[in-house]
Amino acid sequence: MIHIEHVSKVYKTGAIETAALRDIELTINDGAFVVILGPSGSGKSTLLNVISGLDTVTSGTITFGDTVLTDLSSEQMTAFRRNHLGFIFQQYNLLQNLTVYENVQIGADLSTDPLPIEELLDQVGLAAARDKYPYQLSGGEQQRVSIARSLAKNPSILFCDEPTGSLDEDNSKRVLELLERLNETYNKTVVVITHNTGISEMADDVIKMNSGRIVEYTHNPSRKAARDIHWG
Amino acid sequence: MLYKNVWKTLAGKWMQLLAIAVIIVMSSLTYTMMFYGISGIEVPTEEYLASSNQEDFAVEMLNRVTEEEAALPELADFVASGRYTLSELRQVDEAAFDDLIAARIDAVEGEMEDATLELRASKLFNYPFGSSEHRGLVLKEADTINTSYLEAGKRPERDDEVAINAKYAEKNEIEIGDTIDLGTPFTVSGFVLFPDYTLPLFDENFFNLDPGTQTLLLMTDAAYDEVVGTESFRLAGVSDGTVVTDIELPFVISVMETENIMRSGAIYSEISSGKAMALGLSLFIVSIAVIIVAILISNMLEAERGQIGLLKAIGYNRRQIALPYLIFILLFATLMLIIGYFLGLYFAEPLKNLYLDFYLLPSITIAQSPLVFLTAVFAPLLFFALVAGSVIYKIMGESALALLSPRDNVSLNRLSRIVSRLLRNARGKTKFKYLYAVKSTGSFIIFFFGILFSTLLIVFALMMNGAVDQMTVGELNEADYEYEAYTTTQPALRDGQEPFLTYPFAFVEDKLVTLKGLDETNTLYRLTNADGDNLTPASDEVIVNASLALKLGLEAGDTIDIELDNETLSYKIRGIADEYAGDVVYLPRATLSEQLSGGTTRDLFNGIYATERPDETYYPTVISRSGLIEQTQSINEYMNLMMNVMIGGSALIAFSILFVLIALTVEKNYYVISLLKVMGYDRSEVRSMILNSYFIYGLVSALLSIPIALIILRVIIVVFAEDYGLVLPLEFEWVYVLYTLGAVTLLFFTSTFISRRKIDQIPLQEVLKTYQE
Repeated sequence: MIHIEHVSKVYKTGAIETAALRDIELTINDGAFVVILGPSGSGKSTLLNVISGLDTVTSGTITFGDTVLTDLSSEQMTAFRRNHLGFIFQQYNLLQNLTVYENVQIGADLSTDPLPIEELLDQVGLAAARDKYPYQLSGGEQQRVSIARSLAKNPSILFCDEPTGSLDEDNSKRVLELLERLNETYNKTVVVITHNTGISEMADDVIKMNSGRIVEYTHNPSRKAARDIHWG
Repeated sequence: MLYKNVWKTLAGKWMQLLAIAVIIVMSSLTYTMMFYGISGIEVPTEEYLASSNQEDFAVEMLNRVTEEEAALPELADFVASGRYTLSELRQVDEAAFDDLIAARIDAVEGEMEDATLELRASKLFNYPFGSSEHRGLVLKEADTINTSYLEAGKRPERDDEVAINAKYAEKNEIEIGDTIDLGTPFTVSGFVLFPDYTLPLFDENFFNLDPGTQTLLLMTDAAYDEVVGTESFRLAGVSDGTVVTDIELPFVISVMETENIMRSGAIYSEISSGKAMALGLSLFIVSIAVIIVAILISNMLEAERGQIGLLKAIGYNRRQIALPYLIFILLFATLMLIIGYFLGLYFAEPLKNLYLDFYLLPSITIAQSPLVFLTAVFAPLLFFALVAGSVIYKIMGESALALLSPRDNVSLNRLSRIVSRLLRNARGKTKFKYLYAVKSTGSFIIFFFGILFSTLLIVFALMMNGAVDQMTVGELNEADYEYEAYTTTQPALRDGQEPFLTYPFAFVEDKLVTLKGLDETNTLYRLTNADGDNLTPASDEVIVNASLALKLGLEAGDTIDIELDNETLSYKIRGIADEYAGDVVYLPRATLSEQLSGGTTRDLFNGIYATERPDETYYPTVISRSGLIEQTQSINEYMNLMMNVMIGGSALIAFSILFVLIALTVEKNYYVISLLKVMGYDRSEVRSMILNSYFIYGLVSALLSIPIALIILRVIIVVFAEDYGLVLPLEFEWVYVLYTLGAVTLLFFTSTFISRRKIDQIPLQEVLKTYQE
């Protein structure tokens, strides 16, 4: 479980201060599927950055279980990311000179208890493409490799920053189905940042942000399947 | 505005540009320095050698009376007296000597049409100079071939006058009019050069090129006759036709053309190889510089694709956008090439003086040549313009839309596929590490060959280090005697004196060799093989020195046939003595004595090794071991300097290549580095994944340079042995592998220091930016 208490983030450019996050209070439960919605500049990416340790907070605390993430040193945070966090970005970020298998393997190498690569490739529907290079894959396929790579080290939480931002509806739904399946099959906590309000229909919790604040928190009593969501 | 933008971009890369500047400067510096340094001696040398009528070839002949000549009635008394050398003949019967030489000249001229020959007589002797011992080679003035060349003053007119080498005078602060003691006092009348000794290699048994401890001398004929020393004779020849080198006459040892004689002809290959090396080295360095600049521009433009696309979209044409990049790059290259040119001009003078420290040649002040300037500056500039221009033009040629869109993924190069296959079963991060360095074929080739070239020079330098010492004083360092002295009278031996017997007129496989008889009980001059094991000649086994063994391909256990006075003696080779001075076969003194005396005595000797200076009344020629070692100090210092220059220069090139390529790699891979950090790889893992493959590839490159160096080395040894009859003891030791790898390690960690810090500083948020791989 992740607890975010009174977290603020202020960026300073010379004498100008910009508050990206303002007194955020939030709890993300283990195994939850959380969607963070908001327009550009609302602070949703900053929130993901500070939760995942990609950026530091100006004030407040973030705890994961018994660990206070905001007290960790840079090296300790690296170790935490290595052991617990997986990332999926809008850009697929695949390493161009490695094959599909090798791209996933480089994620698995980080863990002492990785998930089987072959099984993951099977899960993402790319078992047959294991020896292909990224340039030989479509965008949707590349994003699925990226997901497999994130999962390979068997993280507890998966942070997804606009994972379908570069994909068409068909490919987007395939990726979302995959995230849904991972959430349900492996009980992974999934945090998705998106502009697309339709994706919120498949979440347990939906957080809407604006001007660095959480403006709305919704708990869905029932989740829609990824294939049934309204694509907007 | 466009110019300002490009200027700012380039200014941000000042460290890479600085390293590239070093490489560019070194390319024109190398060419200019070497070319001017060589031409500074080439022009006056050509004039000097022509005016002094340098020999076209030389006939090395037996300095003793042959069996056929001994049968001549006019030599009957001389031979009956037990004497046999030409020098002795000249002393006792000059007319008979002149007739014998005239007959020899006729015989050679009969074999070679269009050739004219002249006797070349010289005496080699040692004399004390201050606390040191110096050597002089006094040459008799020739009539037409190899005439003396006066640099200053006048030729000796009185019997107490002498002309010496200007370089010797300079190094010993001697001026014209000063008196020097060559056994008897002489007044220096002038400074002289001889065209058959452009290199001060007076004695093939002692490799010493130091003009500070030895000099050529010109005296009157009468003064020459009074000099006590080892007298040698050969025939110097000029010919308008073909030089016949395979003359088979009993007194002829060899006929060699000047280009193949080290003392007179080494300068020709020095000049030609120096010029070729100047061009080759600078071309190699400039190629590295050009390709690195091309990679830098390509990376720079790729990073600015969007910006360039925008400029095209708003109406700037390809030429307008490309011109600022091209102009700045060419201005930068021009400036560095000009700096390199003037630095080269500055260093050409010391280089020329370095040549003149070992070659006995006249000198002129180096004059600048427009052609050299054009070659050093404009030729590489054209190279830069073409390569940089085509890279810029290619990227600018893409449409605005293509430039504004993220770059399409590109396929893998062949090298990556090969490495990928080789690492099929490796871990993911290992594959990543080794594949990343080969991602760009151009960068990898520059890196690989740059390191290969640098380590090659380092290996050479290491090999040269021990070689010269071995060639000059290798065995002297190991000996326990202080003086080596020669006698014709066999005086009674004293304590601390051990006799030896030499005979320099034997042949092995038609090669003139010196036989040296040593006592088994000899302690002052011990022979050892390359492993340091003691060798002692036995009655039925001889020891061959390394020089002769290498020339004839002899090994321990082989049998050699020694031709001695029309008699063939077969001996088994007990071992190869680790010596490179002359071509020597060692055997027991008693055996040699018996052979030379026709079985009458086993106790002949004509020299001794001694711990105290022998009485010169009985030993006219006394050579000090420490004096000889001292004489070679200069050449050893020169070789050390050369070695340091080679190591320093190659290290600087390797450092610059590593620095630039790794800085560019880090810069180009900000995104990937950030991604690895986000994934959870820690600082040392990321450094290792991005940089350490270069280290491994660098070590592989260094290891590869060793067999290449050995092959080149073998070629050099063969060429020197075949062309000059000189065996270079260039040897490889396994410890050099450690030194070379150590040098690469040091270079790698110093040149990547900044890049390592840069990797640490790359923020995690970089990964959130547009993907740029």
